[in-house]
Amino acid sequence: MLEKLLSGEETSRLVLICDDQFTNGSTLLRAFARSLIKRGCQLHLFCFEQHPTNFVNHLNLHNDSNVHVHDFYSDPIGWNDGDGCLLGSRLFDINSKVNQEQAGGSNTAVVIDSLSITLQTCESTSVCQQLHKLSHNQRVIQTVMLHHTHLHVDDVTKRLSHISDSVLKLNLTSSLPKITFSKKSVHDGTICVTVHRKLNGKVFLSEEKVEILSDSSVEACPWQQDPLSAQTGGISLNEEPDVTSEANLTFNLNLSVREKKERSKLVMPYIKASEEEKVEIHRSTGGGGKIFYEPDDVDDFDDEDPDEDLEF
Amino acid sequence: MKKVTFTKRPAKGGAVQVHGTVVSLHNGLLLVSTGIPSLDSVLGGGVPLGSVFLLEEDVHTRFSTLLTKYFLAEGVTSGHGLYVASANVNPNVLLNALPKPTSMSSTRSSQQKNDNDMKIAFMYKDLPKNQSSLSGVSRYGHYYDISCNMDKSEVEKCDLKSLRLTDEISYGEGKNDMFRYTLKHLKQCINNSRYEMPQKNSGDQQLNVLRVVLPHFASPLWCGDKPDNIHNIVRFLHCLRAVARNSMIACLVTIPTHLYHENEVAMIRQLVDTSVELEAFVGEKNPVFKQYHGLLKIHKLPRLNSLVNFVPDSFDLAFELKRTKFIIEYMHLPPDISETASRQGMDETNDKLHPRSACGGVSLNKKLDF
Repeated sequence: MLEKLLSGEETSRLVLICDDQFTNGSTLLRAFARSLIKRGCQLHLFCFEQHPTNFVNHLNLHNDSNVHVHDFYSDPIGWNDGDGCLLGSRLFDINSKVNQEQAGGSNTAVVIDSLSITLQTCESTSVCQQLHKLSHNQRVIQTVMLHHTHLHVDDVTKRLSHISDSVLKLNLTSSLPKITFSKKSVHDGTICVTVHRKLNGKVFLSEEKVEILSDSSVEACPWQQDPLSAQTGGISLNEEPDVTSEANLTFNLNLSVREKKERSKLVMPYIKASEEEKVEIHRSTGGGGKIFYEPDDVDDFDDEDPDEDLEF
Repeated sequence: MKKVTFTKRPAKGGAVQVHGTVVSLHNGLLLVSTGIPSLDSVLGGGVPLGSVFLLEEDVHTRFSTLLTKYFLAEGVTSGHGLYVASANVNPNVLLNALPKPTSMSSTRSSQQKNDNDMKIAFMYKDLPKNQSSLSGVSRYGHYYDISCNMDKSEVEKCDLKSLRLTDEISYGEGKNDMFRYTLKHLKQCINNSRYEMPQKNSGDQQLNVLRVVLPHFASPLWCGDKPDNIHNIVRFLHCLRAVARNSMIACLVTIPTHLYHENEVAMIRQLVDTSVELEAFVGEKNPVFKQYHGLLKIHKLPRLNSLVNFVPDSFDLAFELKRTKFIIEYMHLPPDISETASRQGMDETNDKLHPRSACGGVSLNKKLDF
């Protein structure tokens, strides 16, 4: 599912990448940016957390003409420019900025490095409204945003997920928090849990192990939570002593082969009784079906039985 | 000379005959179908006229959108008026994608035969016919096929009103006025098209029902800047209920309640008449839920003019979506047939003693445990 979203096979107007203090989502964001440029889009890059040249250099592009950078990193509150307006109102111009710099009829895509600063200065509902308008903008084919879930309350994440078509949540493979750095767990990596909502309403959930290579291409393979490793935090079981081993017992719990045979030969008392009945029935019926009726004294045996007149 | 034949007196109280509605068996209210017959039976027949029905959305809004479409489609087949106010989606997009009713064409021919049959039962000639003139299929509760869309011509026959709340409205008068604007617009529509509750019981009035739908209400797109959105929502619902009680409308409001806190959701539920929550399964691995697409939770049932409301047999409900039906069922535990029950020592001896006959020996080896 992740690869389909990246390549554009699955259309998704608003993609939300969620990371936390243990995972890094900016590499995945760059991968999205790169694939959008490859598809021939005019990319509008809104940088809040990294210097724009840093971001663009990591994209490893041959030519930068398709990338329009909106730099909110260098002067976020507008001290140098002099207007001193709050950062939030600058984000509201996203729509107008995108519409302004439209060259011809090519597709536009928007990548927002991080929503955190905007969410801290403005109400999340306003941000949601702006993003919704952006996603419904006719010219914009996709908007990709990065969101740091640990910096905001759950409500904000829920609202952003509600308006997004695809939510990509990055987790670590080991569910235990990394307290020590000395012991490296055996299976360490990033999983991406994707919840994608198609246009017709159907929802797809997929969990994939993600590896992002140095040239910003992504390898994703499906991954299933291994229950054993989840509990033990990725430490292989061989290291721990087997608690239930029978080596320390003074008596033997297992049966030898001969003893097993003897056990199967043993006939239970209730079998004998049912066997005798079975044998009798077999002898008497002999394949046919006969009814042996012995009338009691009380029974009338009427010779003029009217039932014989009945014809079926 | 007096009339000899028996003529029925007109029903007391001027029983209102509106097509697409049915009188409730429990409390005499006029009910309107939700478009899903099994949901109607769980609610006690349908949605009462003049009430507000809250549908608490599932997280990805897949099924709530579908239920909204069923509600609107039922309005079209019953010939009701439709009103859609939305901030999220363009209302026309919703109205263009309504599901098609199954078996719509069959009854037109049968209607014409009925006029000639009254030679013997002429006493009943004066009784109003149950079938309305509109489409012939005005029996209550229809099934819809979600894979095909309803014909646009059918949709356009209805009285359609829509309101799309955009920035011009909200920024012009202040953000909180989105709610106020919607209410004002709704009241205007009701007054203009005479959906008000009739004051006198004149039987000749052609009364119709207006179905009011507010999809994705109270989503982040409806709310203003201030953090006290809940107060605006609560006030809106209060006013909406007042408007609903005085008019011939049935409201369906869908709210994504998973975005709100418990106490806020409790306040919202207090102000509506019926509240039903959908919880859809995404990647559910529990085998009990294998055949279902989600759970249906009832939080509030309507109690408009009685002391006791209708209560369904069970509150453990689950729903399943099929192409032609939306089924709601009572959930039950599957029968516990344990497959590992076998009696040791029996297997090998029996086969040797006597061959299996049709009537006796097979059952010993079957792994049924009662």
